[in-house]
Amino acid sequence: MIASQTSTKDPFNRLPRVFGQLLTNERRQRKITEDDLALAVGLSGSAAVVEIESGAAEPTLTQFFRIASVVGKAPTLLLIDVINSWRSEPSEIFRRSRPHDFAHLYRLGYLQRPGDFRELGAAYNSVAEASRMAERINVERRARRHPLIDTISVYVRLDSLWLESAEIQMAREGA
Amino acid sequence: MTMFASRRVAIAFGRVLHEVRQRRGLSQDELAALCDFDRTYPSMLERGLRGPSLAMIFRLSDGLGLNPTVLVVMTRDELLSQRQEGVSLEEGA
Repeated sequence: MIASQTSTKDPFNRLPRVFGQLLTNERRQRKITEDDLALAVGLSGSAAVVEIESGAAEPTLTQFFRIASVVGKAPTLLLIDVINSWRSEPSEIFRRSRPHDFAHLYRLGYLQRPGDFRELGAAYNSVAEASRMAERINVERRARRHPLIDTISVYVRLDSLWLESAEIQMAREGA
Repeated sequence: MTMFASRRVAIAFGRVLHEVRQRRGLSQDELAALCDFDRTYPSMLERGLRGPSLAMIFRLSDGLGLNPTVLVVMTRDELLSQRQEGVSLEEGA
């Protein structure tokens, strides 16, 4: 056993089940059979897919990349879905420590001319929301013969640094 | 569809993990302690001898204080840069 802690309260233990549910939804939406998925991902058969989808087994990173490709999603987007589902379940640790990691992820953009990519200022909380807004904006842009919005950029908070101003340090010490 | 070979992915992930861990100023033992892993596990990962599972990536990210997407994006970039250098990433290569 690699991880020495496998308590049922350990939030990481919920990941295989969360991923499995997402995979089931993605596969059914795209009408991919378990056999087809197994073949495309290089799994031994449909039983291996059932194991992953039930949370009894979890994918390796390689399998994760392949699954993302089969369901037609960028690995990052699929991973964000996993994280969002995982964090939406009750978990003291993550509700408290990371409440808004993934807010305002999606922005709309278009290519004004080769090499000149432009983005609109507004940000949206989901691909669906951004897509709906793009369709509405494009009606007007089409009428004005402006380049149509054809891209949704995804922003993810990659890292964070502590601010070390005197005021913040005092606040921390007083906390 | 690119079928990244398991071994290539493990090696690419190992390079990324090594780089990120060093940037964080952590030893392998410290990382193992932070993630509650066996102390040999980070070394196996960094040498590409083990491929990480999804949950392991989340545990490592938590220990490193990163969003899990960072490790996945960096690994994919590492794989794609290998392809640009002419390394075959397909299964069986």
